[in-house]
Amino acid sequence: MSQVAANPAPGARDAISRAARRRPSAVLIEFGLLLAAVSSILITAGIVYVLFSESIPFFRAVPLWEFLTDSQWTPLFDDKHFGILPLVCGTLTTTGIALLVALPLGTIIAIWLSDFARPGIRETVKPILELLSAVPTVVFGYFAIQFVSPALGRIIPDLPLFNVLAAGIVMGIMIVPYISSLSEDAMRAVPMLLREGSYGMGANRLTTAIRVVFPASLSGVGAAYTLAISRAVGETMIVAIAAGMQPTLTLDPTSQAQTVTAYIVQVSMGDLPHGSLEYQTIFAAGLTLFVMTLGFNLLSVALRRRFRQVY
Amino acid sequence: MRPIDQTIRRGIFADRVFSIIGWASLLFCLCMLGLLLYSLLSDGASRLSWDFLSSFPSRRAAAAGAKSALVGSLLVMLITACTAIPLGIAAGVYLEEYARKNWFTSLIEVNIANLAAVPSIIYGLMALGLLVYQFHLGQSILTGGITLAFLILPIVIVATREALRSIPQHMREAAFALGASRWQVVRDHLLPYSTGGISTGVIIALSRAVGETAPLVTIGAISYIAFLPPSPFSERPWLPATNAQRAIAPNAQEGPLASGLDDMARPPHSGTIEVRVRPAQGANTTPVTTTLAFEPSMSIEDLRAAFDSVEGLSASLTPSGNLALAADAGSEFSLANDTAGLTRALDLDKGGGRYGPVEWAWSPFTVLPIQMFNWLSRPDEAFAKNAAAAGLLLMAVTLGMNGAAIFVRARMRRRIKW
Repeated sequence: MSQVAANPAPGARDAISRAARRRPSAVLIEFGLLLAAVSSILITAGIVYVLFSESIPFFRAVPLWEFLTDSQWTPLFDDKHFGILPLVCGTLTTTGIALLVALPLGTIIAIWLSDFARPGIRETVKPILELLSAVPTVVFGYFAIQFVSPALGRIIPDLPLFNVLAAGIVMGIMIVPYISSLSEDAMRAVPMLLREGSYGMGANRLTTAIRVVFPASLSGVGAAYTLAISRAVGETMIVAIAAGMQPTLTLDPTSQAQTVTAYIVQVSMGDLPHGSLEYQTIFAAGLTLFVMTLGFNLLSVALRRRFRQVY
Repeated sequence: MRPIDQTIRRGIFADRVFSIIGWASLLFCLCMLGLLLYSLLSDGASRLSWDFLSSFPSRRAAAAGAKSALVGSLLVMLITACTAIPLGIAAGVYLEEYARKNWFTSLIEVNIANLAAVPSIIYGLMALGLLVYQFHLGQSILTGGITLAFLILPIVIVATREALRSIPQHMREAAFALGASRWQVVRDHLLPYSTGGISTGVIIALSRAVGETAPLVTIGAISYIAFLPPSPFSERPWLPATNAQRAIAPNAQEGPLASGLDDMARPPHSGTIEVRVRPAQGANTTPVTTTLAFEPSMSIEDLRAAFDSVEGLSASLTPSGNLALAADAGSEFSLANDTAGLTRALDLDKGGGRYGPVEWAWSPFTVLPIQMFNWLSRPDEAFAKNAAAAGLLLMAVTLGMNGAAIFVRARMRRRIKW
């Protein structure tokens, strides 16, 4: 009997060895799937290639030093100045206001959902909150200019219709779900043992949440924060609609300002000929934006390494 | 030291206070969502009607509609879905089921994580530099669709991987034990089991693409389009003289937003184009074919002169700087064998069509969010109502898609028990 099992019939052996050999079609399929996976790298390569190849002629004409230090950005006027600072300043101001709104709100909601809310409420509220991040940004822009800005104008006298404050606040509301959802996931991943230990020592819920759960989930919460910052820095339509189109070097939230992204939109809507210096400014601005978000991302990776806790 | 019961009371009090703060924060966010919907509804509900859905944009706010934007959104999403879904699923399957653990795989993984954080407008710049100016796809539906596909690719890949990862290992092992090849396991088992998870991810990704504005503005989607892309079913081999005016400069009705055409109006590369003119005496007269040669160095005035030299055809420049061709009264003309790429650069309606049934993919376009942005950026307050109505449409589509995704996820969770 064992003899038979060890030596299968000649036909069966052929079939097995045929199946074991990798058929050309299998190799072809694997190669096709590999190509699809590699396409993501090609996209990155395309982004880097376009941003650099279109920016290099710009930086030949405008020295990098002038680009980084000049305090005026007027490439579309007769008296041309190419200082990116006013645009970066606009981006940082709107991002700052958005974070002032979103970080406290998002963190409080995350803590509340993970450690205070009943499971039933949590399961209903989370998808509803995530709907907030599904709203198209152009609709948020409408909300900022048609509702929030006039409402703020009633509180703050002499507030111009286009202002950084309204754009920043609405942007903050937009990124709350990113923070609350991801942070809550991170906080729920903290083992129950830690909480029980804390309760056992006599701590109340709030102390446990702030002193035990929050520090333990810091790497995940940090990742949520940096994603939110990237979103705010790269957000385009809200600021293009509601923050105005005047690049000014100011941190005053009640004034108009133009962000890097809003400038790119403004030029894209216009009719500058391809290849002109004015046209290349949008790629230089895009490169600035790319470097900023990349910086935040690398920071987030570093933070995650630093604060990672393994249970 | 404080007495213990006081400490406990303080703790309970702090918990209660925080609980209220948490509720308040949550209500604040939900109120904002409610206010957003309210302001859209109060401004836009009165404009939502069949007329609004079936009219082209207009200079009069009350007559303007979203027809071209709706069709544009639909066609762009068609291209996006056809590109991003197969590509994303294939990449996800490779990374989860085929890839070996090495530096190259982890490079792809890090890269996908980084792509998800790149601002959408950067994708627009990439598409402008690469698809529009390097590959000469034009500022077309095809370019727009591919751009959005790139944008949502990371979401589809991550959703596919998560869906595959949630299938227990023993399902694979059982199939392998029965002699299935890796591809057979993927095709007959893993993909069918993960359909729910993948489609949730795909729906959410597409709903994000529907609302995306910035990258399409960057590649130069035009916000004033008063015509539809050519239908794959219609054949228009000849352009009658009355149609010719519209044919050449479809967006000539409004100046500033049709701009950029001057730059595009140069032949992309040197080549020839055949102009056929059929005289007026009935359908069976033989057309006269003239071949014109073009160089990229030619200006729009040179183009006009070249077309004007053809017998029976007159060419002129419209006030907004577009080129208009017209056949003499009663006769018809068509353009063919366009090796200069001129018809595409000029957005010419060239009768027979260079790309046959997929001609529409090369058509200029607008989408719903861009139309809304355009209406919103006009000083006239009446257009804000149109913007609100367009916003309502957008919200209905995106919230509907997200609702569908939640529904699919919930159903899937109930059905599958490993």
